[in-house]
Amino acid sequence: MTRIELTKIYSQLSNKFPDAILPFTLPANGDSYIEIKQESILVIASELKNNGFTSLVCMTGVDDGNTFSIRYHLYSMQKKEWAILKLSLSKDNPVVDSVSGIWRAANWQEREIYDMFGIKFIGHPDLRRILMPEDWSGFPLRRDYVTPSRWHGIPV
Amino acid sequence: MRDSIIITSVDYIINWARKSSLWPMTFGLACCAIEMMATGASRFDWDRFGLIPRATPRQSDLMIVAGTVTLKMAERVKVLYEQMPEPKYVIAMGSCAISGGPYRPQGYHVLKGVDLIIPVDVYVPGCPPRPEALFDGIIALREKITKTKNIAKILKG
Repeated sequence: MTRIELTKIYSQLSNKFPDAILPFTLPANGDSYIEIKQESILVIASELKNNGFTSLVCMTGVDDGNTFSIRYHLYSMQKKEWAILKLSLSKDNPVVDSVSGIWRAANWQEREIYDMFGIKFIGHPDLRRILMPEDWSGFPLRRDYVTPSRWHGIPV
Repeated sequence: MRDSIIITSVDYIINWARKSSLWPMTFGLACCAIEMMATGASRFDWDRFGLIPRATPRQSDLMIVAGTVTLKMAERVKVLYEQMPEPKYVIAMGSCAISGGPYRPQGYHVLKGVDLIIPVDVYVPGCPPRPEALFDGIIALREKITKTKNIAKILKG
């Protein structure tokens, strides 16, 4: 796959929503991404969906050390184009609006991010753990996670 | 009288019957189960050894733990093992079932070896083991069954 460059989509979005988007830099290597503000995800997401990005291919969370971040990989079947969104969240109160109302595929992806990082999604229809046992304590992919020694009497 | 001719002959017949009809439970957890299915299919054909998969633990003698045992599954594996009637045998198939395999030590969701929750008779290493390796484990288990002293156990109480 060729490298994804988002200069065109970025200029379109930043003309329409100048306050929602952070400055764009083309990274030295790897795919570029559009960094957006946490509170503007719903606006940007529905704008992109109306512009043909009907498919949410992948959604991941990352623990960057001081912050959490979420990346949305979108694909447009009509234009054969990719778009990658990134947003950062504070570690004290990681809360973001759910996009499961825009892309149905986000439902389980957001549950998985909640399961692994403890990021809460406002407006999610069913925010439960999806992989770990429901009574598990802690969020395994956080950097400060400590594995419990036992679970239901079983050594972990 | 512990090793008399009658007792050893009875033992021989009991053990012969047990080892010749090891019915495994139809149960696979991960990619090792694919190799286990290959072992059961026509090319390797474990029917030759009298292994007929049963769909319920109540009719099974053998549990082949084929694959990664996640913590969520571990509780269920234990329940299934306890539902099997005696005598029952367990084969831990593959690195994950033996020790957690690639998930050891960082895997937060994987049981680090199925022998932490149920007793294991034969360990079959590999990732996943080839059908020949699983057969080797089954033959090792058959040899183990051959050496069981059933009557002596009963007389001991």
